[in-house]
Amino acid sequence: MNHAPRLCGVALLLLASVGAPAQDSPAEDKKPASLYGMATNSLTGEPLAHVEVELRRKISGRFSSYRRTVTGRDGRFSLIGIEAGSYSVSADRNGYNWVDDPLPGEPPILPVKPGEEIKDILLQLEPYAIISGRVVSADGAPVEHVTVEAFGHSSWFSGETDDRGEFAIGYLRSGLHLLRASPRRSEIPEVRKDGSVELSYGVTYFPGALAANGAVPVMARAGQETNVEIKMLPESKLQISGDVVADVDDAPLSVSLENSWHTRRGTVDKKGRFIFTGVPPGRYRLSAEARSDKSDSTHVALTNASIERIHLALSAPVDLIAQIRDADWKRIKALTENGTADVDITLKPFGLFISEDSHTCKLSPDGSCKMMGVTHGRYHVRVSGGPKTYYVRSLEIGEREFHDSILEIGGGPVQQQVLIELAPNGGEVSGIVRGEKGGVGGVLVLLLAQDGSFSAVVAGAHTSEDGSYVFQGIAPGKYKLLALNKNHSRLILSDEVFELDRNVTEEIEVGAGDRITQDLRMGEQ
Amino acid sequence: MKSYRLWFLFLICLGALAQPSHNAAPDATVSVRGTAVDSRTGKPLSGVHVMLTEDPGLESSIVYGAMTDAQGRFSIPDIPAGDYTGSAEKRDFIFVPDRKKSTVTWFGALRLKFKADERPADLVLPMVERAIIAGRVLDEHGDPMINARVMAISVDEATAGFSYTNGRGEFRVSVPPGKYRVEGSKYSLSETTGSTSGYVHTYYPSATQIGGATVVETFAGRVVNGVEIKLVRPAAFQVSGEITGLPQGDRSLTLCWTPADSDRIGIEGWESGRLDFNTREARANGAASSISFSSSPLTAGTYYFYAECCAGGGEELRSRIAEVTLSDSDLQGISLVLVPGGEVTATVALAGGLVSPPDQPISVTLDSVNFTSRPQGERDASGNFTFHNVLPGHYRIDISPLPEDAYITVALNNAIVRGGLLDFSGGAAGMKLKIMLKAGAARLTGQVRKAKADTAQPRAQVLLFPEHEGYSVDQVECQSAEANENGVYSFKGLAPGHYRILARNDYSRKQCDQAAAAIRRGLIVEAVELKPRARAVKDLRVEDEANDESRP
Repeated sequence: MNHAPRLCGVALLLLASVGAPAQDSPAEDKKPASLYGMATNSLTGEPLAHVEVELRRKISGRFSSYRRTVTGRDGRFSLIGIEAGSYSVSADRNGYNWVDDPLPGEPPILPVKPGEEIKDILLQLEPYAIISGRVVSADGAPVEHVTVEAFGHSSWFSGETDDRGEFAIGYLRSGLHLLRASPRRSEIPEVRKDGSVELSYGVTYFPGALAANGAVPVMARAGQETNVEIKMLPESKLQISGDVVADVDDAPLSVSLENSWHTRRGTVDKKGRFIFTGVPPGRYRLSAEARSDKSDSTHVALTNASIERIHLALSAPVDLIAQIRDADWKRIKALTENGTADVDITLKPFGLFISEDSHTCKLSPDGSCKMMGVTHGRYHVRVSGGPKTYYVRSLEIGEREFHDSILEIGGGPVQQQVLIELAPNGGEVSGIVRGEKGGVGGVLVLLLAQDGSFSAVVAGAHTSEDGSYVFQGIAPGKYKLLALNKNHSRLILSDEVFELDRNVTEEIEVGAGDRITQDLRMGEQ
Repeated sequence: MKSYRLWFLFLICLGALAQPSHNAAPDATVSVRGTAVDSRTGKPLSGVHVMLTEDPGLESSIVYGAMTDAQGRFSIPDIPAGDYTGSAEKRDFIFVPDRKKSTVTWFGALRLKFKADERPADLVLPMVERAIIAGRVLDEHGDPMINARVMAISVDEATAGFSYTNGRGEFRVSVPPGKYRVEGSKYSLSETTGSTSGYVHTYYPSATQIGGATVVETFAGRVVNGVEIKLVRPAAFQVSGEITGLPQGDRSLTLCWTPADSDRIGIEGWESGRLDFNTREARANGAASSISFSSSPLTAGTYYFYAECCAGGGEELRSRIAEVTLSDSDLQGISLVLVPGGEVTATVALAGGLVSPPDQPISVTLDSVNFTSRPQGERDASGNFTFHNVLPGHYRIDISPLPEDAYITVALNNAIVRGGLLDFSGGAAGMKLKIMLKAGAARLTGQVRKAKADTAQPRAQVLLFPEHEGYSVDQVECQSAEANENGVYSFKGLAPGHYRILARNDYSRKQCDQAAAAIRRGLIVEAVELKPRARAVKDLRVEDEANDESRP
């Protein structure tokens, strides 16, 4: 045992020394490559000095720094003596955003061959846009310590107001941004017994709205400063309250009220009651959780009145067995090649984010499959991979029946079976996404199902070169259609961010067998 | 700054230890009254928001609030007895509790204890009109730096205020009036390399050392404008080279580096890093038995570089630890050869009448300083020890059980090892250790007192160095002990001889190096001689920081 390692070591050392002479000879595949290029200010086209250019090498699926250099006065850089391999290039200078900055972890690969000379690499940098201004109270006095966030399709940054109520948010890219001002507030409730009243402000959207749907987007421009004034609104008087049904051994319980950007935690008293005060209008997920892993959650849309008596009943997540009705399964198998259908069932939750984690399973030859740990809530159910015009007409769990692809999972046994009825005459929606110069290819079009004020992305399609898109097999119901701006992918697709695109969002209603044409405009940047 | 950080940790520890005080009857209440005053004029302040926060209740804490009236008075009736923190706020004012007369938290709040059966004394809450330090933070090219952190620290280090620069690189820090040093820093982490922004903490106007800071004087209700901090970014260099001795098969290997001066591993100065490789991929790229590497940019200094292989399967391999010093250029051609561990042998001799109890034979372990490995010696019939597969690195010897009153001396290949630190960084194969356990170990205890008062200094760090001749001490032989609540420290298992000793108030990773340097320069003169089996007592005073030239 103790000799084996030493033998192995000797063998390796020999290997290394045998390999060495080969490396010394200037073999063709070891000839170093060179990279040359220039950085420019994307607004003026002028060369940009002091730009840090980093060459990262892809090793084992990860990028690590390989070589760095800095552009000179003429904006030019060179990287010589580069080994052949897979690289990515990045550009960085304080005060500028690199225009082609890829998504984290997905930089475009620059393959470098032995001895290659790569010239004219162009790195364009855009000066930061700034949104600045003042935050004032109802009587016009400056408000200090307010966090102002600017969120747009391609940037999301924040700043805090100073002693003069002033803020200036940098780092921004050109484009529309929503502004949200949040006052500094303790999470701990304050009790006053001296008769004085605590004056508190609520989260306020520019120019003076309590909810995102009343916000006016602000245009940020590269290299420029956009100035605004936000008037803080008093805290909402609305409340959300109710109770939690739980077993004794579920204690301690906790409740939380979550929207797309903030989670508030609350307590449950001995009688199982909870209350959240000062809740601004909006969409929320209210959930209760026990240490025992049991939970329940529900969606709440708060408009202009408090919501009381919400009941939450704790139970464990459900393992769901999806089963296609026999007759439907036979028809689908007959329509697919060789009778081997490769069909998926997907449950998309209606949630706070447009694309929340979904549950998917692949149907086995008997037309059934199992999804583990499905939490309580409402879902849109879709079949995919089978004949394109089929949709989910109805769903049955025990005694309960659901229509138009919408399913609700509630309490009950830990394992439940859902019987799925399919119909062949789903609707079809098609059209062209137009930009300033006609159809735009490669744009992502989203189809959102609506359930009250909550939505879920049920399908996405990229436009072909002429800008056309098509969705088939759509269950009857109300939908939204939206063509995303190409920069959109940098952000979480929260409902709030979609407010930026409300001008280009189209609402449609689809009936069984309908063929609807709906052209779209691409969202502004 | 270090003392601040330490304080913060200390408070966290206190918080974790604090038990909710439930000894009071559950419905016992107290009523708290008091006044808010302008600390400069002594006049009462109206419209001050006073807050008492229930202290240890993390889950269901409540704030009891009140506003002061025209006479500056407030009243918070019928609140549960117990522990609270108290604070006060008013626009353009800062709460400045008296740190001499009361206990103040790191966040500037008062610690309060209300007992059930006592009427609390009236609280006096001093407020002061704030001063504002305003300016900009710039990069090395003079461009504004966004989201840089700006900290104003009063010259007596008693108060501080901080803020971040806005989208124009501007900042406004609110502080109580007084004299301040203003420090800017920019922290951002690169997702690929884990290296920092490269900027170091810079004092206004552009100094990297506190001594170079220009002091800014502020006045109540006034703004000091034009404080412009130009952040310093030291030049950075890359280390490149080759890893050879790759194992067969599909294995992952790692190149690691870490600053030789471990004090640089801090929140801002994280210069350790790693690169991961895969042997199969290396071969696919045309490298049969070697992988070339290039580190992320590092500031000037000395670093340890090494490669290791095959965690999670296969034989463990490691290169020697290469000491690399960067001064003013990139460094190429570092060669790291992966080798398996080597065999180390050790003999243990007992001297001076020591006997090892037969039912409890001595075991010897090598404790790696750099890694988590702890190879244990295999004992043969003649009482000698063999350590298999010892990888390159630095080790210390651990003996268990150590006979009462014994001390250890170690010889490596017949040369005495100072401080017991074994240097196997070039490989361990063939190393021969001679471990001697000698009877007659001495003990040393004493009390640490404050620098300028005759009272105990709790929790001071006491550092002890064997003295060789004159002021000659070696930092690797540094031993440290922490004094207890009563300032009492103790060392045992000491070899007889001459020692140098000192006590310090705060803890730093670099303290042994600093203290050894100070001793060699004759700045620290406390000495003690320990005879065999001595039970020596030596009382100490903590170093007075103001006179301590050994500090940076």
